[in-house]
Amino acid sequence: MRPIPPADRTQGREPAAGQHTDGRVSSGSTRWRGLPLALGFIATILLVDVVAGTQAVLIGFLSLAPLFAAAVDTPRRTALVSAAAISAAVAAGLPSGMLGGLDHLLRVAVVIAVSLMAVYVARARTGREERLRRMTEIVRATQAAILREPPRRAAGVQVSARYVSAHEEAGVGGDLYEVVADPEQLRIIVGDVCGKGLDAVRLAAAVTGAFRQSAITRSNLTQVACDLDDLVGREPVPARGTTFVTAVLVELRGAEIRLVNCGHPAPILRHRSGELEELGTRPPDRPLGLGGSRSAATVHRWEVGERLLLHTDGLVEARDRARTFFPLAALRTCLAGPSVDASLDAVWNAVRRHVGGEPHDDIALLLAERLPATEGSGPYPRSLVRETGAG
Amino acid sequence: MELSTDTIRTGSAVRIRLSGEMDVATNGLVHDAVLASLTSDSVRQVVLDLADLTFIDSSGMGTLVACQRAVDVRGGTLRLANLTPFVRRQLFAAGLLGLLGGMESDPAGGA
Repeated sequence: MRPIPPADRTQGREPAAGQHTDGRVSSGSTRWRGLPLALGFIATILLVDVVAGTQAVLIGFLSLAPLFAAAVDTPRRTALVSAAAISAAVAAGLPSGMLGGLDHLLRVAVVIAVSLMAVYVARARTGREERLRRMTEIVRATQAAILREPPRRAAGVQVSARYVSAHEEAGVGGDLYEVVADPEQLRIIVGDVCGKGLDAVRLAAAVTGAFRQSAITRSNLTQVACDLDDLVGREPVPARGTTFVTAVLVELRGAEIRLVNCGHPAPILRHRSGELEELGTRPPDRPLGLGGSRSAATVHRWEVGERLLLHTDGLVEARDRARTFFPLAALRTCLAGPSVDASLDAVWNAVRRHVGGEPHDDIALLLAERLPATEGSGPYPRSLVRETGAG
Repeated sequence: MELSTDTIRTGSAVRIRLSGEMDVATNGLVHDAVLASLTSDSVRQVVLDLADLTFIDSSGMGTLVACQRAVDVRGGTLRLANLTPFVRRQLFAAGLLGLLGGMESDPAGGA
């Protein structure tokens, strides 16, 4: 597992990301504009006040500037705007000739009061944002900790996995993968807990743990899915929502791919010709935790050098600014990389290019490649399985 | 992208039209709208009109399941109507088309 660090989530983002219209992304870019805008506003009011002379007194409007700064900027910058507004309020007494009068003093007092309140609001706001950010970091770290690095090479298969945590607080948590390797076979789960945050991460940890156990003791892949079904089905149901886990369970044994799909995006097989095939055309079973019957595994075949991509919906649902989805056809070239690692990097870069920044949802990716083995890597004793490094 | 709900009540049936996208940010609105429609004891059938639902993710589908359960518990039925091809594909891929079946005027989606 190689989590891609959530670096530069608030700064240094590509310009394109700051222009998102949904407001959730753009908060980072309005911050630096708060100070100049507020100061510009104060200057304008002061100018109008000078021009208007004794005709109109606009001092009251000056208190809008600190309020605006409090909404978008830091407490320190808000204090700066407040100081400017108070100074301007005092200075505005000159053109109207009311400087020092009771009326002027009262107006200045109002500006001072609002300014102090604005600084307090800015502090409370940034404090809340900071707590939320820390919580998100905790969820990210926990999520990364429960996903173990898969064996790079086992049972004649080379494996690489990536987990990319969401760019936004709302999207973090819940994607999972786990690989259990035997000498003759590899069992893999890639799944997605319906829900976000620490609760989702906790359930993801429970599912990967149960899968490890069940994948070792159960001979039948469908039985493994039933075990997980029981586990998730016992989870408490949240007040608003439901608890389920979409997952795909895969068994790789020689030339055979066995597949049990529990409401998860279909795995993609890249043939040696470059052709992509989504495995599993019949209706998938329900997600884990919702009961219902579990069908037998479907069996597919893969040749040496072919690659199998398991992914979560964050990949196919990654959208650009025009809200078009990530085109799966783009995977054709990405998956042709010189190694499974390079291929996953290419997929990740393609997603970032498509979204124009960081994706809004978690993405888990796992890529497996069948390695050449002269004796075959099927149901033979381990000593006969020769794993060569060709990619 | 936002989501808006529009509830129309006729007799013992409630039709809730969803416009926009269902994801983590908007699921609560749908759940609240369904629960609000159940406050009257006489309501037996809730129809979610999804003609203008342009996107739904796994958490949104989870909310639909939760809504169905909430209506079930109160002795009513929840039906989905006017699924767009995208929403239908999402529900199909998640293996939920059968569970959330009983689609209105939609023989293919029956449970």
